[in-house]
Amino acid sequence: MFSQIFRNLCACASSVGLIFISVFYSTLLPAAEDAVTESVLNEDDTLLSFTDYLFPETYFLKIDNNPLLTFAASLLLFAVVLLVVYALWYLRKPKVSTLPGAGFKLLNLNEQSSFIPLKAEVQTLEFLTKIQTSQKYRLSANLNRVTLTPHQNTFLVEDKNFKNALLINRRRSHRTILCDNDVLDVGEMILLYCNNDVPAGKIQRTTRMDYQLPVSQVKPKGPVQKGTPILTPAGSQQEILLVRNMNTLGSSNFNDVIITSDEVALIHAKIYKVGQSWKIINLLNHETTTVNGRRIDQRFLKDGDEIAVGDTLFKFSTSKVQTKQVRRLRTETAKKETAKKETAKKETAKKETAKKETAKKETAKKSVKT
Amino acid sequence: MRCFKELNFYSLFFMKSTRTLYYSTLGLLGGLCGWTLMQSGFHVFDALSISGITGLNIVWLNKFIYEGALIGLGLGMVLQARVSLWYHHDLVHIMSKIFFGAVVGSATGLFCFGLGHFMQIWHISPILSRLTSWTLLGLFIVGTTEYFRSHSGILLPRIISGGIGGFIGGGIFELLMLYQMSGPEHLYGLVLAGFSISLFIGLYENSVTSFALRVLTGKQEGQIFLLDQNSFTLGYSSQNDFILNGYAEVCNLHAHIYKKDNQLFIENTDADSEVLVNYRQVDQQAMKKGDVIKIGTAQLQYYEI
Repeated sequence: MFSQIFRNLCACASSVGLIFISVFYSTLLPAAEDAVTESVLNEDDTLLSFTDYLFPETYFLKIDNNPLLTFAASLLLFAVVLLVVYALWYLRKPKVSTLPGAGFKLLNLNEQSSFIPLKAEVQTLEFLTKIQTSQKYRLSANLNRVTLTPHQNTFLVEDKNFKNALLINRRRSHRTILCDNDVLDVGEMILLYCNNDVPAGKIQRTTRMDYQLPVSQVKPKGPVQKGTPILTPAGSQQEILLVRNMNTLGSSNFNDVIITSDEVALIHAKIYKVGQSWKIINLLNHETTTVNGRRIDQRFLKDGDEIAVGDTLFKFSTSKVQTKQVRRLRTETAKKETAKKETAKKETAKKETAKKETAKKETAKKSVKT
Repeated sequence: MRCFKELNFYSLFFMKSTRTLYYSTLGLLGGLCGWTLMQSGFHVFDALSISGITGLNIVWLNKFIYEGALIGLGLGMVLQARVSLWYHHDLVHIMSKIFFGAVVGSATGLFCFGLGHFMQIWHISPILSRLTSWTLLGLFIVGTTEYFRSHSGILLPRIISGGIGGFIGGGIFELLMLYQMSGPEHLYGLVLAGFSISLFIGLYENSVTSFALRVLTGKQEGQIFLLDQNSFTLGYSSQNDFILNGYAEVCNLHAHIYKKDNQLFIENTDADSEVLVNYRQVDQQAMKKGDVIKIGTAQLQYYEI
């Protein structure tokens, strides 16, 4: 069974080969044909001659008849090569440093960071100014108002000054218990808190787990003018059009742009038109509004600026609004089509009524005749 | 005590060049593998021909066939596993890759050198036919490794660079044969061919790479993913480009990173799990230099030049 299939396959392959040979070198054809017929029809002995014909003794890579290594030596060398590959794999093992106790690692990109251990005592973040770094980082002057107090194997961070630019996990917070792998932004420094004793999930911190788009807006009515600015919240494709000349932002329902967040005030900020440009103004002194990472009071906006209201990020862009125009075109075409249909319907109705009338007349004539 | 290496233009350049060197060393080892296999195979072939099993020793273990197949086996074995070796994946995963690469490589070697042999039968000059078969070997081996490696599919420039490497390696091989160098010219030729194939792939990858992801926490702390394709997948399974192994809450195919207008975007591919960029949940967002990405419990930092 198997050998039969095998032989059939052989015949197919050799015939394909023959076609190629005939294309390139026609005088070889008869001899090769003979060989094929012999090989397929006869027994294994003649198969040998055919393969000898196709694959002559001139070996392709001209391997020596007396190889350098013995069988055992070559296998040994093969094993050695595999071992070297294993060693190369082992070399690439990432070095995980299991450090005792709590400490900070610098995460700034240009920095060859080192571990900064923390002592288990009440201290302020002022020691950050004394760290040797490859370049100077801007730090807040009031770092002595930020205290670290030991608390159940970790530390409690308390920010007693509102103006310190201290973010924990990229959010403003005034009192937080630090967990393993927390990221702190202190001024321009980025720090990673490490503490193997307290893994990340151990301390429950209040986080809003339910995810919904935090930003909503009353839908604008009517067509949109060219040049209306667009706010896009970070992490979504939602577009908020600032239709009015004066737009308020905040968590209250009265606002034009409603941001549902704990860290946004009822009426937080205002974006309004001044001549041809747009301006943002922070409405409450103790709340933060930033533009491109800087805390501001009021500022003119440019295309591509990043605005943060409380903890919600926006991107401001003043590109042309095109979506509405396309939609309008579509509606126009739809209207035209409907109008065409209506006219067609009317015509058909007319024709039908005409036919009916003629039919009636005819029947009337017939009745008259009869 | 050092924790993280600095990430700037020079360090990234250094890292890229070490990677190229690593790959070329692997190619060199692949060539050596092929040579040792050829040597041992010769003995096996000899023994078989002496024992006299008719139909087996001469027809289906024809010398050229096993030569081509063994070269392909040696090169394919190592080239298939090169990325996994560089990123220090699991040993089981690497073994499976090596086995798969050996099978595919031997098949491609058989095909390419068989084709070259047929060309010789058609009275095309032997040097030309050998060169074409070497080039084809480079093309096919790199093509199969790219195709079977990940979700990213075929990358044409990389495959072409593999072909160029094969062509140059084959040329060196031919020159060595031509001048009858003293010593084992097969060894030199094969090793140089493997070296040049992997060197050219590495050089191409270097020219593309300008983005990197650094792992900040956990088991793979300090590892740096170099982004050298247009799209990547991140996740737990071995099919991904970047494997996050040993982290909780990372699913099989967790995130997708792609390049668009020379900017990198991250996209959440799993509806049940979440991707956080700067601790904000994200469906699809452009990344900035220095962003902290959180996938499950793993934290990554993004870097670009």
